[in-house]
Amino acid sequence: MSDQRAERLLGAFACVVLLMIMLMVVSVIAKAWPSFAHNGLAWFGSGGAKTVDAQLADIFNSPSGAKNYVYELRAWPLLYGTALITLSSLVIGLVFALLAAIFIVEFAPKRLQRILEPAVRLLAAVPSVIYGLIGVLVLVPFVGNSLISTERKQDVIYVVQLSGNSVLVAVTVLTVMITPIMVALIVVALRAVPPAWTEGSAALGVNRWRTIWTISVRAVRPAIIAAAVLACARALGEAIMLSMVSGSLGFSPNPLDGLTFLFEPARPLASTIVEGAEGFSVAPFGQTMYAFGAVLLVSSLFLSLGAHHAKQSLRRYGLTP
Amino acid sequence: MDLMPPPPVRRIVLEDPPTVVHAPPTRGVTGPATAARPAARHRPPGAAVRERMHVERLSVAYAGKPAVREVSLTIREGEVLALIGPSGCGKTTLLRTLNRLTELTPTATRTGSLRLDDDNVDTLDVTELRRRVTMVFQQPNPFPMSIFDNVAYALREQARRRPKRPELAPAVENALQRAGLWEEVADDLDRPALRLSGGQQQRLCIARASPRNRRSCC
Amino acid sequence: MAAGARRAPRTRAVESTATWRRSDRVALALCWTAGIALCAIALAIVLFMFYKGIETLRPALLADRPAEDASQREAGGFLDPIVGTVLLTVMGTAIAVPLGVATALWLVEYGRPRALARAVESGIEVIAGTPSIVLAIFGLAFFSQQIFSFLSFTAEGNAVFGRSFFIAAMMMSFIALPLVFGSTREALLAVPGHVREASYALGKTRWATIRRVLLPSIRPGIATGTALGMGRIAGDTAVVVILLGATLRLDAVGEAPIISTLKGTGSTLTSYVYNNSPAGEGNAYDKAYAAAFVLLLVVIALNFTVDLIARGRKGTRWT
Repeated sequence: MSDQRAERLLGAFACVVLLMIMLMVVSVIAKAWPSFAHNGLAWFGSGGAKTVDAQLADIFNSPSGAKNYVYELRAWPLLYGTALITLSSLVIGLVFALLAAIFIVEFAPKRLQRILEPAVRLLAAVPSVIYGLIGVLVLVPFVGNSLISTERKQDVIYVVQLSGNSVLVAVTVLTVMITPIMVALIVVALRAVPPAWTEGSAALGVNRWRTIWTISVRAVRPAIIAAAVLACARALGEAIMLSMVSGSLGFSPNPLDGLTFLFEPARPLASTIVEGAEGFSVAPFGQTMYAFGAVLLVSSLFLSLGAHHAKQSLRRYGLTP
Repeated sequence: MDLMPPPPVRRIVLEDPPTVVHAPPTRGVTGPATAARPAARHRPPGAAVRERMHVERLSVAYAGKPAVREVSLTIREGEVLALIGPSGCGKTTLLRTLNRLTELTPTATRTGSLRLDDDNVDTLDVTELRRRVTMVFQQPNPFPMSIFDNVAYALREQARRRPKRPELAPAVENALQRAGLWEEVADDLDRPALRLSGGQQQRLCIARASPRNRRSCC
Repeated sequence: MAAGARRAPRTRAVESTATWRRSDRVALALCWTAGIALCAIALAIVLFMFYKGIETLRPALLADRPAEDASQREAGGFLDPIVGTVLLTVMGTAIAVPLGVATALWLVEYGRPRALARAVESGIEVIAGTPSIVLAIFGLAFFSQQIFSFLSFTAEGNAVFGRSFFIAAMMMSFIALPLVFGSTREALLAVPGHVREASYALGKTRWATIRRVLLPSIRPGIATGTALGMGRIAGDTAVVVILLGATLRLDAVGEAPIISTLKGTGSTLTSYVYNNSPAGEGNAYDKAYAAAFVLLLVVIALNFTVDLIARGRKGTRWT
């Protein structure tokens, strides 16, 4: 085959991929449009006469005929639940991952290193449904029966039912899910720091911790940001595990409730879509689900863009992304 | 910048006892400002000088392959000692051993004794040793920070309480002046160090290694 | 490469922490805690799943088909879900690998016009970052159109069902695509320029160079990407739940021998576990554990393959 034809053939494959991606973005937003159009900006707010779960049920039960479709939705509790769970897991996971990565690269004895690296790879590969299973069959009963006292349940029984399905379990399991990805990326980056810098710092008489913190970690900031973005995208899109452990109640956990806050349920966007899988054939419900999908898609697009810019700005000091 | 008269050259050839060659006194090269300088800095030949480091029968090997074999050497205060030899004969390894930098390589082993001011080097805390015996590398290796941060690095990281920038500025300026870099960078100390030219980077590394008075430097 | 930055602990030469500031010592303790905690969590998860799996797994489960009821408690195994997992993994990979390798080859070897190359690269990054649930609903939207009615079941009233093995496999290939693309591209970039130049100097066209020189040498890279992709496909649940029709048993559509199964609906190990957990209707927790154990073994095996390939890769030295 001549070079030209080969180039065109391979290029055609690449174009097919690109086309599918553009189609995806366009069609998800197009399908989602009616839900946004009917609610306007209030879609993102809270309020309305009913809870968000009831609103979704109403949409699902809309009478047939395009004129009678119900679209009313105030998605704030869902957005808040998503942001709360995602950001908490991200912050805790990032700290955890950074410390663990430093440990693996610098302080771990050889034998521990040889165990830790396969362990991290294993954790990263475990399917989310298995994390969900352990969460719902082990952690949820534990939290529900042992950590939440009956008094606490009685206190709030008129507002919300506290079973073990809670923000606490969701954040814990999600943190464990996203940490290995970050550890792997940060370890690779730390190992790629030029030895000239670390040796130069050691030769000046700076101790090991300060060397790795002020030189290596500083040098791999782009990688840390990339790891955080990757983990954030994974956390945002986590549907299955969260639908098993987070309680699936469109409730906004209130930090002012004190300790009870940790035990309150929530309903992230992605799990709402999975739970609504049966209802896609009902037109307005399907469109509302697409609206949630559109929010997720746009968020992950913004995340990628932000990470790209952050990496660019750190190039100034000679740190390659 | 004051110009010191060149120190006497002590030549150490491996098989012969060391000889000393005195440099001829400088004539008329110095400007009027330095002509009236006291001679206190120039040591008369033969006067007793303090010996700071003693290297006795030092051998260093990487994974069993010897790099330095049974070297004995004395290093005196205030002298400039040059190790000259063919490529690959172990000069850099010997230098790196002086402040225990070879311990960063897992396969390196060392025998023989090394003493700094009569303390066995192994009994000293290694970071303390490295603060007293500093090293500038063959290839310049400025950190990915600004010029100021590079020079102030050791001061910041070794202090008990993190010093503020106004406290560090005089020491940084002093170090840069002694390295001969001050005039070129004084206008913007916050420039990234990696943007300097090769020679400037190496002078920066020298400045970085000496923001305080150090005992020996290689 | 980082030999200088790591230090083997030896009795006298280890840097003592006596001169460190208190904050440094606290940080060291935290690092140790994080490392040990990670180890402990990994160990706990693996041991627990193995314990539960061995407790609940019986050979009958692997051979029986799921019961017809919604409740899985009484009888039935998970043969159909196993078949479903295998089918989806194979099909998804079969689509992803040619697409990913071709795209990576085009990007690295040709890559003109530059704007298109950058767009493709960004596009693949977008897919990599998109949640699988969003890919799933896109698949539903896309394949519910009339033109694609041949890929799945069409109900009366001309509503295309839009869910079948074909469709799920296509969206699964999107999930595996960035992994195959990334590994192939890395492997291609690692081949030094002089290898290609030597081939051109002998008069070979670029395409012949790709076929005869590059492709054979990047086989480990492609294999790594494939294994990683297979692992991700086998472990994904969201696409299955949305796009595979949620029937526990394989439900063929039409009469043609294999095509009917592929046009039909079914389940995989992942959706079976989800269904049998408290989140679904199956209500058979022990079967969920057993299926999860089998799934974990599959994923571990795939990851082990990746490790094996990576270790064998040290053979190719270019200089």
